[in-house]
Amino acid sequence: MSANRAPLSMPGFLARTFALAIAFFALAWLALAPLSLATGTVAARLLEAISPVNDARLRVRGTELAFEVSPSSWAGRDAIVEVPSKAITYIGGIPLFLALLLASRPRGTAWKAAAGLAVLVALAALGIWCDVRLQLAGATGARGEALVPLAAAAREALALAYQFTVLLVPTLAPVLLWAAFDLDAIRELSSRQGFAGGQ
Amino acid sequence: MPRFLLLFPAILLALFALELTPPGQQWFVAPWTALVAQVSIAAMKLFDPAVAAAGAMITSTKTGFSVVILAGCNGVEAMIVLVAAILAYPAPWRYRLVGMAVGIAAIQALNIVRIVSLFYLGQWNRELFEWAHLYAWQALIMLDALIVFLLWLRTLPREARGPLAT
Repeated sequence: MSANRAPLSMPGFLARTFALAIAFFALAWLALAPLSLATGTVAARLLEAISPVNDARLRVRGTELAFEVSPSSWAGRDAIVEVPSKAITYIGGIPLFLALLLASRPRGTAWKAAAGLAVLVALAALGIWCDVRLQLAGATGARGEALVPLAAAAREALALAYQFTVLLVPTLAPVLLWAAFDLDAIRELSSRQGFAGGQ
Repeated sequence: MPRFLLLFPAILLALFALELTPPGQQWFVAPWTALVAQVSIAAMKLFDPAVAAAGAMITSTKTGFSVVILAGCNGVEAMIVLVAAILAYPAPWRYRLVGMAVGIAAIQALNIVRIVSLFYLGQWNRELFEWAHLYAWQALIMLDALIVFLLWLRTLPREARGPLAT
């Protein structure tokens, strides 16, 4: 347990988590545009760094992201592929992480919140990158040729990674991050004394 | 603790990959999702006779509004996380089996509440539906899995509490 924290009780922790989650989910909804821009920008840089594209420009239309990508294989020719994505699908874990962290308030809450936020934005960007890269793999030119080719095995692996980043990561990552940042809370909440109280 | 840290992601990835295979989809996910839809319908019919289900689709016969229960909405991922965590934790099998059964029931009970609430929320306000669908409920279901896991840990005998013994 942290030196500056009273022992956690399960009912108290849950009540605080729910109350904070409601507040953070509402705040994150209001801040959807900047959060989308942040994750989309990281995803665009990822595209440029680890995909065969020359340039990936990001446009944010409300809560929708649009990536304008010029494929490397089309160098010398003017080809732009526009790929949409939705950041909201990937950033839902941020409010949950903040709610859990502030509900348990471990030592160093501020830096842990900042570090966790950075990790979750990076993971969301990775999810968006998987989404966009998969869509790019299916983009074809006028004669049906792949504009940004991807080997069959790589496509399978990417499809699995995409499913993982869209179905599990957004909700699992915040819980694991919180657990990693506050293992004492897990110990206290899973002990029998933790249920009855202590606060 | 290192054992848990190694086993949990390994089991999680294995179960998740299994879920995504065509046989996994055909023999588990599709029937499970249809069952979730049927149970949701049965719950809704208790207070609203104007609902019908076809496979994983639920429709209001009054307004024509429909929802389809897809991957991510059937509670399977949260179940996989919970099962992986329980299997990875060094506990007697009797405790594991009870934990998985009770945990899956708890996750699915909340998932039915999610589906019913989203069905009516969608008919009332689309923006709120999006917020609840993509944001709040996803997180709440995973929070449910976390709470169940913590409560399950509390039921373990002291000698079996292993890495988290205080």
